[in-house]
Amino acid sequence: METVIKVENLLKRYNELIALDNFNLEVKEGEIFGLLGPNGSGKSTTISCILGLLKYDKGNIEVFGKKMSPYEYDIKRQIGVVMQNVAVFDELTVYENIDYFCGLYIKDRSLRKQYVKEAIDFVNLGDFEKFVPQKLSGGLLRRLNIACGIAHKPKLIFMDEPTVAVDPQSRNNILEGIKKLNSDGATIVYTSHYMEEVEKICTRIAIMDKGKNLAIGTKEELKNMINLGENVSIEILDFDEKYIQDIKKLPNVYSVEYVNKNLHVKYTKGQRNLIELLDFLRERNVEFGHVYSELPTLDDVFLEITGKELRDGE
Amino acid sequence: MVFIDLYRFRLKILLKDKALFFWTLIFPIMLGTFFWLAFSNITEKAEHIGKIDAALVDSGEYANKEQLDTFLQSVSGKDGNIKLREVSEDEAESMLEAGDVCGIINVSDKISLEFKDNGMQQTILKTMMDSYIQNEKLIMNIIKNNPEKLDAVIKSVSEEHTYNVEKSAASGDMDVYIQYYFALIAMSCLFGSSYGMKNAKDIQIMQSDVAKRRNVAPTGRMVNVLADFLSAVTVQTILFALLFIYLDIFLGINMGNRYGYILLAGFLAGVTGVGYGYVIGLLIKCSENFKEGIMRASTLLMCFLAGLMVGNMKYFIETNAPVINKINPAAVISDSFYSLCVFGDVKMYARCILTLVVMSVVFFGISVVCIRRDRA
Repeated sequence: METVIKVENLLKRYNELIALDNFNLEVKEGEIFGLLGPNGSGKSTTISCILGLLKYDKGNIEVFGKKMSPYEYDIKRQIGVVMQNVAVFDELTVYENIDYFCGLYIKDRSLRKQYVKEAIDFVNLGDFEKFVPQKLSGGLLRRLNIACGIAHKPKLIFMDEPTVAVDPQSRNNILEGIKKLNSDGATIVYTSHYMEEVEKICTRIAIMDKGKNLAIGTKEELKNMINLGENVSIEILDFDEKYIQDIKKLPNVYSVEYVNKNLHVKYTKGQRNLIELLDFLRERNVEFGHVYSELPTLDDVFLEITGKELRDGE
Repeated sequence: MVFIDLYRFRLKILLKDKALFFWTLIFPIMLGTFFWLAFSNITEKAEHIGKIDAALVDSGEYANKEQLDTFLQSVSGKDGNIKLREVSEDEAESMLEAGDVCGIINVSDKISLEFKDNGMQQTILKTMMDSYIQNEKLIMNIIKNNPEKLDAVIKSVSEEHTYNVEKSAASGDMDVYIQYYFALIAMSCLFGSSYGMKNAKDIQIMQSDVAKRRNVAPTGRMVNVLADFLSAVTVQTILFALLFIYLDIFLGINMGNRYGYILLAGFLAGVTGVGYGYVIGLLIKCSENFKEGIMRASTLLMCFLAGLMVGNMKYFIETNAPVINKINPAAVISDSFYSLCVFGDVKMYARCILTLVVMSVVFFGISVVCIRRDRA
């Protein structure tokens, strides 16, 4: 696979504040690459530097094998951007907005017309072509925002938190759309606060904090980086907390806590963990209700790597 | 995108902005209508002054009685401004008290005037009599000291006070209130700075997401800037033309018929206004509302200094600090119309136009430098 984006030792300062600290990144063709990190971690700064919107102090950025600059129009022509905030003109209709932004890339009017139609169909805004943005709901606005960024059929698409403040149904539609764009050949760089989204659609993920790339890999690779196996939660109405120390002595147990009538046990590696825990409870006549067991999530990975909850940083 | 499409879209964006439309057209139209209602009432009153009723109390003791009688006959004759009634002192007093006359001319060994109220008629009567007394003194001095110059002085004095206003060669209006309308046009053109400010916002990466999206596209930044600028100037020129038509045709304010020159002045005033908006939008780093406030307040201050609120302000400044009038865009715009429509002075008009061109170039130059330095 060809390298689409190559960022080497990027340093970006805002006066005394170091926004990006020798940041490195490589995105391959055909990937949906997730950039994960709390607010202020440097995600948007990274994207702005790659897009030529921000100057940087040191380092090198290559896109499609060429050094990126604000005047590299051939590279820019192949890039689409879906901004974090809805970036459209309030005075233009849905159709006109898409036509305008598509027109910044495509000079041929008939081709543009065709692309605009396809973009409208893609985000399913056919019934709202003549609506001005003020008349659209939050979900529809997000879809318009996406259509404006992808109408010119870019090979590389940056999506900066495109699902913020979107209802679950619209969010699923958007995620499906992103997968479709990817299957049509676009490489996608996706930033989000929502772990589950990143986990669901991204083929590789980079975890950022304080301007640094802390870990990079597929979700499985990231989960393997940390010393966690499954997480078990058991509903227990009447639990004697003296058992917590005994449970900690069971094989592979990493941590134990009893919160809100639920016993949470985290394991490292190993098998038969759940069976042994349930046997332990039965032997002591502890009555329990629902039992849940799940593998570690990216939340756990993020917590392990950065030492904090992702949403704490928001 | 081809340039014409950028221009067309921007035109649509600017024309559909209702707030800007209000400030640049609706508000000036409302203010113009208000001026018209207020001033036409005053003008009407002035036009209906008619003949001034005055009482003459003559004791027959005045030294130059013959000359005085000739003067009074001339001003109270068929074409004169005064309706004079010679009565006794008591009759005159009761007529003044009853309001039948506006004043009494007492002629004894000297001339004196008596009024009950102040007003335009009283002012005219006093001006005429003061003028007569002054001229009489002048002629008597000449007879005494330089009798050889008497003919020339009499000729000069008789030419000096025709009590008529000479109209200029321009087909414009000598209405004293027309300066308010010119200041109003200046205000409307300078409110075009809102369009410049909106354009500045939509091209600065750090100011709006739309600007970011435009800047990541492979269309040159200066191409966008040029299309935006031309659209704003087009909109402003159209709005100027609409305001002019409203004032000239609907309100009947005679602004002359040199339409080509007027349009050129309006166009350049629009360019200056839009340029000013760019400068405010690009140079001042603060919230959009604060910028808007600064722009609006500074524009109104300029218009105040150009006589929008107080008619004599521009002349006061011309007397005390003339340089302000030279660098105040509102005063220059107002002067360009005044020179054209009232004085018919093309040289003065050309000077104003040149000043507007220089201002526009300076504003545009500053804007280009700021835009080029925009990437943080």
